[in-house]
Amino acid sequence: MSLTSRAYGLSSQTLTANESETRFYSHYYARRLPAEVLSDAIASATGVPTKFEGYPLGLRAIQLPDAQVGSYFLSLFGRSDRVTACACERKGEVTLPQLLHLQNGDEIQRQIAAADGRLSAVLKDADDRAATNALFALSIQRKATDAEFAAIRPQLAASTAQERAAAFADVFWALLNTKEFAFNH
Amino acid sequence: MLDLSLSPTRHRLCSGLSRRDFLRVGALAPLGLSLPQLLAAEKAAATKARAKSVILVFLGGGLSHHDTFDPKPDAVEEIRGKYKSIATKVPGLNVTELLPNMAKVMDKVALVRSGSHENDHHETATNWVLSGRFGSLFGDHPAIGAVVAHETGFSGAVPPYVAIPKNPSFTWELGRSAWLGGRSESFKCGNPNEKDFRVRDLSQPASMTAQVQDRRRTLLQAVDSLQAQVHANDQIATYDEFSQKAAQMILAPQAQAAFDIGKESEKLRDEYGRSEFGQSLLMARRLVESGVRFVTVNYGGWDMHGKIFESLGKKLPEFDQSFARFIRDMDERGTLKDTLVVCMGEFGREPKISKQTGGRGHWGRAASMLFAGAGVRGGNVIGATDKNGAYVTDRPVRPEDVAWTIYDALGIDANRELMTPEGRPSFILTEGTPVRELYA
Repeated sequence: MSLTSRAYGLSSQTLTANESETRFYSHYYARRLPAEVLSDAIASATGVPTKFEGYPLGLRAIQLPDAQVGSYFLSLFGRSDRVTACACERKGEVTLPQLLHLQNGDEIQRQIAAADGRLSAVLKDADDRAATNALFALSIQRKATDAEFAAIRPQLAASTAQERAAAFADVFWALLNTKEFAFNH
Repeated sequence: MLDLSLSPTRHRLCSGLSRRDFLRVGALAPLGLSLPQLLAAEKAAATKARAKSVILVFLGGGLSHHDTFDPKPDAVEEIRGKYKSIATKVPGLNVTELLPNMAKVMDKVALVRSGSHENDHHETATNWVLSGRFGSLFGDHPAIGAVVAHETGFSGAVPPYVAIPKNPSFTWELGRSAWLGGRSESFKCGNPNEKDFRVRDLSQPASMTAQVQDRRRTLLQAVDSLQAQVHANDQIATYDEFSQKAAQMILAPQAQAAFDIGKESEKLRDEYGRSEFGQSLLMARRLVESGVRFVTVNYGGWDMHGKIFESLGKKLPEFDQSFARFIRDMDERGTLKDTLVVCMGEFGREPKISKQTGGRGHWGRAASMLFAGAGVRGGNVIGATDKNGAYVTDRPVRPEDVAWTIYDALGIDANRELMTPEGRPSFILTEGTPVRELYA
């Protein structure tokens, strides 16, 4: 029932008149995804699951039964340590090391480039527009607008398959670094 | 309540007049204040900075003052402890015999023996001393470093506030930025004593050519447009700010170099001590020299409830070697005169050594702290405790006084009001005064 309510259906898009209010639900307050959700989103988009020590590969972060599983990503993005019952343990804030990790983290690079990941499958499509739309769909669940593709296309210039793969890897990197990806909006 | 600050927000006096009305009428005279005097008072409040940076060495757990800087050789054995005291370079000042290197540099540091407050709880006291304001065990008030980060922002590509290896913690993180949020939180350096130490995610592989970097930036700019639709969202604004900062840090040789402890000579690294603490102090020196404004060196493990002399026997030599070398190195390089160094724990330790455990309990009422740099007069000894090292007999120095001293040294007016995200005004500090005797 709540899914069809007016409150739940609010858009996060702001108007000048309502942009600065944060408590009366004039719009949905866009917020960063929680740690486990973001970890799973990256794994799902890239098609490369994250391995959690002691659990089978393929178990999603949201399924982890305990908060003591070592994971730099989950700690970095504010996972609750479940030491106390305080909801304040889970931190949804944006920090500098988080951005460093999204932009430059080894694990994410590996997930993007993996031979058995989604990017490799997308690259099989020779049509650049279709391939771009596929990456958009995997990450931010929409197609590229004409304006966006017009800005992307020059960056896709490549003379070998390897160069093309590198260019599309950077497109994917960019998409996984957008706010649209990291935020619930 | 009459607010005479010249902030742009309007303030109403209890009589209903606005401040603007009040000034227009020239009615300050009955208060004994003319406008020139008011402006002069405002100016005096914003003090002149003595230091560019602060290095705070936090001795988590609580340093035993009896067994370090406030020995009581005339007390009974169960208070005096096992160690004898030795003379230092400062005439009349003795410290424990386990700090021979510190004894030689006590003329470069000021010693406060009268640190004092009423709290014996680790988390509560830690958050108190790290913020200067008493709050809950979870930390209601931003740490001093976070306020500094908020006030000063980035200087070039290095973050303003770094914690080495990370913020203090017992079971949960302490000394956090609280309501100032992720934007003002410390940047965690990691343990510089690790083999092949590298700050996480900071360095790029050689395959990341300038061309690839450019392409990535261009692509990101082309697709990252949520801010065009969602305005006035602080998380989005922070994301954009840090997205730029992260990119800058990754690309800037200055930021890479600042954290590259491998650039220090092996000999110097040996002299500082090949421990997490020793290398952290060396890293702290590097960071302030690169423009980091506030560095917290987190050196815990002082909570010695049992077999205290066994524990101190291992820990004091490490502290002694590293901290003394650090002070000398900072001094020789001239970095010390622009940097305020503060070394303290969250409380001292109990005078009476427990017969059962052979350790000392928590003791908020007395603690020793060290200050150096930024015009602090080396050799000054401020405050004193009674013959048992239990209670302060002269010049108590409270957490808010230490915090005031730090803000004052950086030229930050701690009387200022900040605004929390909920719109609640919060003074940086509500009590305390800087410890001016440090500079006398």
